[in-house]
Amino acid sequence: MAVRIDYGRCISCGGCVALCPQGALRMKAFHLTLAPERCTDCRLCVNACPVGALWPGVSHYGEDYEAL
Amino acid sequence: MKRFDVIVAGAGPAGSLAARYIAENGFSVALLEKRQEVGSPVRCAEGVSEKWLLKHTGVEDSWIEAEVKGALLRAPDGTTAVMNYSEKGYILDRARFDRDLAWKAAENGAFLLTRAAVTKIDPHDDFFIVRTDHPVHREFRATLLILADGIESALAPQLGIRTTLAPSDIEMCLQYTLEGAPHEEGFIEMAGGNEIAPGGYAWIFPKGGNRANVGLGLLGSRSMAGFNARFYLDRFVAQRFPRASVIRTVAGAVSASEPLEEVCGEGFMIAGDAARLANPLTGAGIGNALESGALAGETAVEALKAGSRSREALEPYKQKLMRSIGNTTKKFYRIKEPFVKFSDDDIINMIRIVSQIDPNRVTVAGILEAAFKENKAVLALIRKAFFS
Repeated sequence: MAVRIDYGRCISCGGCVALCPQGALRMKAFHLTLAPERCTDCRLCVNACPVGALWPGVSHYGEDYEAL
Repeated sequence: MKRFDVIVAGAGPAGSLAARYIAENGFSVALLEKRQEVGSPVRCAEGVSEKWLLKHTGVEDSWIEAEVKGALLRAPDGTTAVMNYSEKGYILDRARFDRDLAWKAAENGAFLLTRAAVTKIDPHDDFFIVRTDHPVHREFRATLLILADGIESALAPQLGIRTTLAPSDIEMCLQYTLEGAPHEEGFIEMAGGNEIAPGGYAWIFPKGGNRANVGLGLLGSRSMAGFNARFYLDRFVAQRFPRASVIRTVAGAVSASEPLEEVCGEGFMIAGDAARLANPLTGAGIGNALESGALAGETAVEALKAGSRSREALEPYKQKLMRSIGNTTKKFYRIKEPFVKFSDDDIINMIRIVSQIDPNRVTVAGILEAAFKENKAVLALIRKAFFS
């Protein structure tokens, strides 16, 4: 399971990149990318993101929609 | 493939200053910047002390948005202490400042390339192959590397340097540039409190007229999903400046850690935020970035003149850096640790004490002494940090 990036909110500050213990988050110029195979869903970035652009991973993609 | 004596990754204040110095001394240098326009978007609250500008860049009118002669410290209960600075400070137009520094490097012969994010470094026996991507794929060859790629510091790990910050060693910041935000002219304001910015502080930096940079940073370990920097800043702005318009949003992270243990190695040096040189207590980083850039440039020139790129040849960078700013940063880090644990009452007490001192005699050391008046261990640290 891996965190998810909300590109509508991300403003490419790079804070999560400095924080990620697995090096799973990278900045390609101004585009945040995630290597899902590295992400352990520890959620440090989810909590720290200043603009709430990172979301916890979900096991079934259906869950969110049901909640909505 | 183009060859250079030095490649500098990142055209912020550290990178541009280093590149300029190297170019001035007749060596070939490429300054690679990921932005399409140097300086923009800004990721900074833009405050700097005059002494750093005088030392490294001079002061140009077009960079200055406002002059700062002191600071207001506000406690959660509204108690305010005034501190008049002994040396002047400025709020910069960082977009222009960075751009001019990079242009000056180019003027002096550095090869400045924008839209060139360095993505891959291949170390060889006596050179590096540096690849840039996004959008254009290019390869360069360089004898020496200066990594000034900012808080993300994604390049140092490729050379075996661990740069990951613990959540308790990073401030997650968000800032709005507001129009229609009346404030005390000539003063920056810093507001503390666990309801305002847990483990950090909120700031109001004047930008001329009713315009101001209003932002806050909270400690990574105290930020929670839903209660993040945006939550606290929106609340702060709604209370203080309900009628203001947001004309710019800036997010960024500031390291609040010790400087990297290894700021140089075989053929490379790390400068500025990438080396974790921001002040862990205040978050100020421009001055330290300038200083580290200048020292990295100097060391590179000396090493090239001596014809060596070994770790030993670059070791002077580390020594000079530690002597000028590194050791102070380390001391501030030790003060920061107990400081971020302050309760609202601690902050109120501290500011009450400071508010009774003559503003002309308030110093950072004095504020910290007031803060830790009952903690002998920390007091001793403060005295050491400021008076040795």
